[in-house]
Order: sequence, then C-alpha cells, then structure tokens
Amino acid sequence: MTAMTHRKQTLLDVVTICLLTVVISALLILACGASPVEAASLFVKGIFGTKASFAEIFVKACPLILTGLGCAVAFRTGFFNIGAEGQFYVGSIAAAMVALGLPQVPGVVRIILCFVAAFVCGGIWALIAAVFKTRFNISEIIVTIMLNYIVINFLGYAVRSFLMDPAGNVPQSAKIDTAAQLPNLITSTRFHAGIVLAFVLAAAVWFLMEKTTVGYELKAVGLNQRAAACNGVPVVRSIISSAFLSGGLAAIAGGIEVLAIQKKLMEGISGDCGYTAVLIALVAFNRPLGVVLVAILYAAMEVGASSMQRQLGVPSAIVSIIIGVVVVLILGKELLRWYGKKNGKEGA
Amino acid sequence: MALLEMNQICKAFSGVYANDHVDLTVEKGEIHALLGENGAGKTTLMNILFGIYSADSGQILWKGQPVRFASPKDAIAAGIGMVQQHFSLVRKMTVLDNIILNLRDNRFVLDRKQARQRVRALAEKYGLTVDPDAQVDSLSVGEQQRVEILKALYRDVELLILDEPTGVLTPQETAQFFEVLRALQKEGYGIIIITHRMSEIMAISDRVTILRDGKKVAQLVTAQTQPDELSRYMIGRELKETYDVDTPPGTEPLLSLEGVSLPRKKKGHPLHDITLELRRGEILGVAGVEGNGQKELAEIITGIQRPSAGRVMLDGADIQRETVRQRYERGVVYISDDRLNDSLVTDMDLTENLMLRDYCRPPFSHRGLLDRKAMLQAAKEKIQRYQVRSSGTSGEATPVRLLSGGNQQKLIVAREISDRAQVVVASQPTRGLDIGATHFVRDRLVEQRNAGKGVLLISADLEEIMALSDRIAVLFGGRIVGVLNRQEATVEQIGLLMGGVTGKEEVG
Amino acid sequence: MVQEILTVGFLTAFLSAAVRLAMPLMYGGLGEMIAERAGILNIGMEGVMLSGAFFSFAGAWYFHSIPMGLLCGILGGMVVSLLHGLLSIRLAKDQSVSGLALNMLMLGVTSFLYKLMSAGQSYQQVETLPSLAIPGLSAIPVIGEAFFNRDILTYLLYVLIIAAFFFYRSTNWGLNFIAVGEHPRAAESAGIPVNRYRWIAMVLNGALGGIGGAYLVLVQLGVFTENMISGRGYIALAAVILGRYTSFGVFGAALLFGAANALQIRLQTIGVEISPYLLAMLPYVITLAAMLGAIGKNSQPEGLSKPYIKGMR
Repeated sequence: MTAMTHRKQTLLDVVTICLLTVVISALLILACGASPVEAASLFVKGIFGTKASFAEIFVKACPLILTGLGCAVAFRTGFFNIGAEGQFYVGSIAAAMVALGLPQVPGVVRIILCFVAAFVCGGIWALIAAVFKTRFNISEIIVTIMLNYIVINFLGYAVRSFLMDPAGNVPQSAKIDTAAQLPNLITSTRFHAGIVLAFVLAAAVWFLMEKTTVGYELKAVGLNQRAAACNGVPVVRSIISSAFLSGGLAAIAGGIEVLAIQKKLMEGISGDCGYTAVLIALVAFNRPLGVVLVAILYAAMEVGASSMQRQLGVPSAIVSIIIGVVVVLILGKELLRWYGKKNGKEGA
Repeated sequence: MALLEMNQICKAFSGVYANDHVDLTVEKGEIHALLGENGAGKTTLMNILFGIYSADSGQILWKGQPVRFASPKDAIAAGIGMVQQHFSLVRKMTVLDNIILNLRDNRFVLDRKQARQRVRALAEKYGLTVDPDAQVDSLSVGEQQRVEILKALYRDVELLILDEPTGVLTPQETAQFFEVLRALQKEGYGIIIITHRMSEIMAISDRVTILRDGKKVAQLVTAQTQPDELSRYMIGRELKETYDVDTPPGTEPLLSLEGVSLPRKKKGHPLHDITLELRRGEILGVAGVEGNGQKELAEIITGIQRPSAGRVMLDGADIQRETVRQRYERGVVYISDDRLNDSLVTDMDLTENLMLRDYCRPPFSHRGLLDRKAMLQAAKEKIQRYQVRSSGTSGEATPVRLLSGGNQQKLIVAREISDRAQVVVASQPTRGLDIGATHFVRDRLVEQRNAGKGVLLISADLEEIMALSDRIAVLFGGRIVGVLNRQEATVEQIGLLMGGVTGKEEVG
Repeated sequence: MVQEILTVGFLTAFLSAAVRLAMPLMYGGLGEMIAERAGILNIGMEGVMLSGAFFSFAGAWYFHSIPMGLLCGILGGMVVSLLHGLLSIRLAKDQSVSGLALNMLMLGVTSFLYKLMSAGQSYQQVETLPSLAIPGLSAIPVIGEAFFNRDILTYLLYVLIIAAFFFYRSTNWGLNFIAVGEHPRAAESAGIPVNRYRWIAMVLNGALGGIGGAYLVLVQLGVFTENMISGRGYIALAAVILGRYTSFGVFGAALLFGAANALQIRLQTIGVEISPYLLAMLPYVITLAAMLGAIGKNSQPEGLSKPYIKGMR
C-alpha cells in the first residue's frame, strides 16, 4: 500500500467511526423516548450555557488530561500501565499528608512540596510494576491492577486512622487550610490553578516526547524494543523512566484533586478517572496533545450529558458507552471496510 | 514399486521457481538424503509432500497411488510423518500427552495406560529411550527429538521426513540418533533426511538427491560417490564476479576474538572456543550453513549478546564489558540479517531510523534536545547519496514499513556506514535484494575495505563470500573449522568444510 | 480476641460468609481460566460479569422467573465475551485494549439500560435463590453450614470445578485445549483447529462470567446497582494467577479472597481493633508475592494473549 492510499484509508476510517458514533448516540437518545435534536440543543446549552458550566469542562478534564498523559507516556514505551487509578490515589494520599503534616510551612512552598511528594510517590508506585516487568518479565497489566487495589484499601485505612479528621466521625481527613489550597482563578466557577498546571504539564510532556532525545528513545523502545536494543538505545532505562513519569503524572492529578477540589482526602475521589484515562490515551493514539483534546471532548460530553440527564432523563452513562464504542470501533475498523473486501482478501 | 515417487514437481513463489521439475524416489527401507544449499528448494519440496504447500504441477505417487495432501493431517493419515527443524512439542505437557495429542482413535476419556505401554514398546524396539511421563521442558534437545520421532511412529507412518535433524545434536547424540535410524531402516521404514553435513550423508544414507537452485542436479548412490563429488554438484557453478580491490589486504589486526564461547540455550545456537582475527583493509568472509552460530557471532561482536567465556578485543583494547552504544562509538557497526526486527523501527520514518545510532550526540542533539533541522538535513543528504527511494510523496517522513526491502537495506547501510565505522559486521547483507541493490551493497562493503576498515561478511551465499572476501572462515556447529585465503580456496574445499568435513571428523 | 475468634459460632459465620463472597469470583475465575488456558486473556471479565448481573436482573424481573434470569445473565455474559473474541481472535487485536474497552462499554451500557428500566419506579427487588441443605453433609460442624447449606448455583460450581479438573487432566479435548493455549502451532500441526477452540473457550468464558455476575443478583442481593461488580472481574483475573491456572487452584484463591473479605466484616462485628482495610490489602499482596515466587516455573500458558494467525511462524 502506498503512503497516499494509506492516508486516505485512515481518513475514511475516522469519518466512518465518527458517523457511527453519532448514529449510535442518536439511537440511544431515541431509546429513552427523547428527541435527539432537543437533546443535542440541551447538550450544547449545557456546555456553553453559563460561565460556570463552561469552566466545569476544564475542571472535569483536568484529572483526565494528567492521567491520560501518564498512560500515553507509558503506552508509547510499550509499558501497558493500567494503574493510573492507583497512582492517582498514591498522589492524593501523599499530597494530603504533606499538606496536613507540615502546617508551619508557608502555603506556596507547601503546595510545591505536595506536588513533589505526589510525583515521586506515584512514580515509585508505577516503578514497582516496571521492575517486575524488566527484571522478572512479569506482565505489568496484572501487577498494576493489584497495586491499584492495594492503594485503594490503604486509602480506606488511612482516612480511618492516621489521616482521619480528629474532629469528625466520617472516614475522611481534616480540611486542608486555605493557605495550602490551590486557588480558584475565576470567580463563580470552579476553575482552579491546577487546570493551568495540567496544561503546562501537557505542554512539557509534548516537548519531552517530541523534542528531546529521551522522547525519541521512549518512542523507539515502544515501537520495536529489539531494534532499539540492537542499536544501543537504553531499553531498560527507557521503560523505567517512562513508568516513573507515567505514575508521577497520574499522582499529580490526585494531588490536584485533593488541593483544589475536595480540599481533603476521602475515599473514591478518583471517580474512576484512572480507567477512563487508559481509553482516552488509546483514542488519542498516545499523543500528548491528542490526549488534551480527547480529555476535553470527553469532559464536555460529561458536562453536556449531565444537563441532558437533568432535563430529559437521558442517562449520563451514555458517555461511557460512547467512549467504549469508539475504542471498539477503532479496534474493529477492518470490519467497517465493507468496500475493500474484494481486493482486501487477495494478496495474503 | 517405490514407496514414494515425486515426479516433475514445480512450485513457484511470485514467479520465482522454488522447485523446478524435481524428481525424488524413495524405496521401503531406504535412507535417502536430500542435499542442497540454503534456498535450493529442499524444504519447499518436503512441505509439498507433507501437505503444507500444494504443487503447481507434477505428480506424487504414494505406494503407487497418485495422491495430493491438503494438509499435514492428510499426509499423516496416509502414513507420512515429518520432524520439523523447530520441534512442535508442547513444553508443559508430558511426553506421553504430546504423543497422543488429538489422535483420531482417542476416546473422550484418554486411556493413558494402554498408550504408555505402546510408547514404551516402540521406544524399546528402536532405542528411543525417553520417560513417557517426563515433562517435555525437562528434556534435552536430543530427547525432544526422540519424542518427535515417537510421535510419528505412534501414528503408524511408513515414511519419515527429518529436516536437519542433527543440527541441534551433540556428536554423541548424533551417533545414538543414527542407531535409531538404522533400526528403523531395518524395519522397512522409508526415511528422507535433509542435511548439509557430508560426513553424515556418507555415514548413514543409501542414496542422495542433490538440489541446486530449485532443480534436481543429481541422484547418486552413496556408496559410489565421494564428498567432493557431492560438494561439486551442490555448489556446481562457475563463480562469475570478483570485485575490484585496489589494494592488497592489510595485515594490521583490528578486531580479534579469543576463545569466545556461548552455551546452548533454549533459543539460538552455541559457540565453541572461537578465535578469529579481522585485519584492517580486509573483508573476512564467514561461510557456513545458517544456524551454525552466525547470528550469535555477530551479536557477540556488536555487544548485543555477552559470551560466557573469551575476550573481544578492538585495536588492542578489551571491549568485552562495553555496551552496544560504546562499541558503536568505537566504530563497530552492524548490518543485521533480520532488518525488520533488529535494525529498523518500521513505524518510524526514514529520518528517525537514520538517527537511531546518532540521535544522542551533536549535531543532532544538544544537551538532550533534538535538532530536527540537522537531522532532516543529514537524512536528506544520506537518502540522496545512497539512493534510497521511498514511494509516495512524503519523502523522508515516510514510515519505513512502506519501503521495499532493497530500499530498507540501503537505509541501514546509509546509517551504519559512516566515517565512524571501523568494523562493519554485515550479516546476509544482500539476502532478498534485487540485482541493483545487491551490487550497491557489495560496492559499499568493498569501499570500506579499500578505505582501510575491516569488514566481517557473514553469508550463506558462497558466491558472495568467494567474490568479496580476502580470507574465508568457515563456521560449522559453532566452531571455526577452517580459515583460508581466497587465492588458495576452492569451492569444493569450502563446501566440504561447510558440510563439516575437516579431515578429522568422523561420525557414526 | 483469639478466644472470640475461635468460637464455633464465629468460625461458622466467617466461613459461610467467605464462601458466599467467593462465589462470584469462583465463577468468574473459572471462566477466565478456561479462556486463558486456551490463550485468550480477557481483561473484560469485569464487563462480562457486569453484563451477566444486569441481564439476569432484567430477565428475572420481566419474566418473574429466576431460571429465565439466569439464562439472560448467561447470554448477557456471552455477548461480551464473543465481542472480545471477535476483536482478539478474528481480528487478532491487542487483547488488553479490547478487554478494557469492553469494561468501560459495559459499565455504560448496563447503567444506561438500568436507568431506562427503572425510570419512574423506585427500588426494585427480584426473588433470590433459596438455600438447599444437603442432608448429612450440612450437619458437619463449621464446614457443613458453609459449604453444604447453600443454593443450587454453589453446588453447580462444585461440580464444574471437579469436571474442569478431570476435563483438563484426562480427556482428549482437555489436552487439545491445553495445546491450543501453550503452543498453537503444534496444536494446528496435530490437526486441532486452534481458533475454533478459542471461540469455544470464549463461549464458556462468557457463560461462566455471566453466572458469576448473576450470582450477585439472583442469590445475594436481589437487586441491580450501577457498577455493582466493582472490581470483582479484576480480582477473578488475580485468582487465576494465584490459582496457577488450575480449577482447584482458582477455587482456593477465590476462597482466600472471599475469606479476607469476610474476615474484615466479621472482625468488625465483634469489634476487633485491626483495620479491615489492611486485611483487604492482603490478597493482592499475596498475589504479587505469588507472581514473584512463580518466576522460573511459570504456569502461565506460553501462547497467552498472542493472536494466532494460521501459517505464520
């Protein structure tokens, strides 16, 4: 296949997948007894209706961008880290411990310390799986899943013991004092400084992946580990550093959630974004800027869908369906190429 | 009536004949050797017989009846068994379970007791000693081969095809294995043995069929022939080209291996006590049939594998502990025989592939930052100079997987051969290339030689070795069995060495 | 504290809870084991079980019949597994990606359908399977209550565990399935149609995973809630590894997971001062340790999660 027809094929696949997704969404809305047109207008209104709702997209996108970036970095290197969920929690615990444990440290310094602690702890958490993989050749998939459950339970323990709010009875930490909170940037919205940090980090990851020798190494290792080794590219170092970075990014998302949104540590604060992130990275083909775009789109769908749910009773679970369908369609795109069947079979 | 008669078998792959009107006849109780260089069409012929490929034309008579097998299953049902070069045994199952796997007359619940008795009886009869209840991954290679043979015998085959059966065996195992073959022969089994080892052909076979370039060139009675006659038939052509070498070969040593050994592993081949010297300004050819340790030799020099014993010296410095990259910096470059897996990242573009060695140093990067402009410029220049043609319009941004094999190889040559290069390890550098690309690659290697660098040319193509090399080392069974000057070397001599005839080896 | 734990009453209640909590994991784990032994890694087990749970609820609700609910649950699980088969066997795609996508998809689909179903109506409950005590066996102290005074699906599982053991050990087909997972090329050369076996494995994977999900609804809770599997599918994956890919091993591993869970509940009720959450971490730590301990004598099928394409070497 030449380069030209290849590009045409890809374009055609993308168009087909988009169309199918729209059709499926419309059918789902019809199934709820609602009008797709009305739903669409509510969807748009839900997004652009008010300043707060528009800002809400970025609030929702923020953790997805960071965890998605984490996944993308790891996937690029062929390290199938599906532990963003657990790394997120590690980050949130680390950030909460620093924020609550060092009350005498001034705010800005404490915030920075929070993120450093989150990044390092999350990185180390992911590193465990990388060591299992590189040293013992154990699949990182199962290891990262196990690590997720370990840290989720540890969080449950933490908020009931050493991190529990001494003044309260509920399993959650004490409130973080305002000095160490990430400030809100736009009044009457939830748009916080963490969002800016997410964009800055996205740009940094993009720069790292595209413009530096490290990014080049990660890419080469991910695409052909054997050739990378034969040409002297440091394979183990690449996997280790991509795992560390990957875990660190997801952990930063956890730190932001604690310092900007919840202002305390509690169970279930990830909202499963670590798992959504895996799919976001896949849909974005592991490109950093693609992750930002897909995460924002996904968040917009969530915001729009929740307004659809309020007004029309269309369940917001529709968003999960859509991202699931998109990934399945990307995987199964050969089945969509009905037109190429006759000449596609030959030549094998 | 012959047990098997294959008449005028033809098979072409995309226009090139792999088998061109080949005949083969095997009698009951005969051990028939099939001899030929790599790519002569031996395996294709056997795959046709075994139902893996179907012939374009020609006839197969099995016990006098015309047959055509659609799958190995049919061939086995008719009574033909084949032991492939790579065993197909399930490592985590027992010997017995491997033997009775999916037999047609298996009942739903397996009757292992009866099967074990039969396996024991068969094993005893032919000296195929192996514990039926042992797990396959606990067995030696020789034992695994016995399991493969038992598997075929258990299925009541009358003809046994053995593809390079001794390649993985130690001399002791080989001797034992030949005992088995003789016992089978006595029972009236027909046996086809594919091999390149002259001594073994002489020791075990009744007749030999020799293939060259897809054609049958001779069928001889072993007792009436000699190894040098076999060798002549196998190679059998006048070697046409020689390349211009401006200067006499150098004498100054550049790279030397001293007593390098590698143990036998699950995958790959062992090396035994390799001592070899590559000089400046020479091409040292390494001849030999593939799978005798060539890949391992190349990877030990380039640093991809570490030997278990011995030293690798470059310019008098011990480079034993250095990494692939450190060796590259000293000038050890590598053109691998497996371009797609070892040399290229096929989903990256031309520029990125060209930079796979040098991305980490100026002018292509400064303090960890890539200089895309410099990379692109260098790539453009190399693509121009080495005439790498990419289809489509995207030029140096084309993914390498869309390139033809010849252009991929040119790209590798363009990357590896630079001013830095001191030692060029080129493994099967022209395999699968068209004539133009072949010439191009060979010219570059000769250029390197004439520039006073050392080239280690590993090739299974004797013509290539003879045409380019100043000296020729022959690798056989993981050992260097001889080093010859080109002026003294004859094709017969090398052919014999490649077949393991060193004048001292005696098998069976 | 030790005295409190060592009472018959405590042990009976504890073991009984352990078996009850382990049951969905056992079904899911057994289904996953069958798939993995044939070479297909189904990370989508979570989605399979979720689908089984929802459709069993829906079936039981609409038809007012537990058997119909079970049947719907089985079919619901199968559909997800077959979709995974389509992507991973037919199209030879990355099995991990496919499984994760299916999990997310089924989370959406089941929540969506449940919202549609329950629109306007509040809390809905279906009938649950009654316990049937096995005479004699159920009278054994401690063990009897836990293992032999249970519902019919639990007894079915015992049968399946034993049947699976004999199937892989002693039957021709069982051997074929092992060969398909370990060395597909060798299997093909022995005349075994590799991909057809893998499809069969996926059917069983879906059916058993579906029952695992249905068990939560039809035996334990009588209701469906969004995301009610909440990670049990992933734990089933761990149970397969911890159980070394054997049916009794999976049974034991699932029981261990169930016991850890039960212990945390029981200890809480008697007011013991050890955090249940630290206990809950234990099974995962054990699984990681087991993976480290298994280095070298890896029991994982060699052909696992590698697509098989005929004729490729």
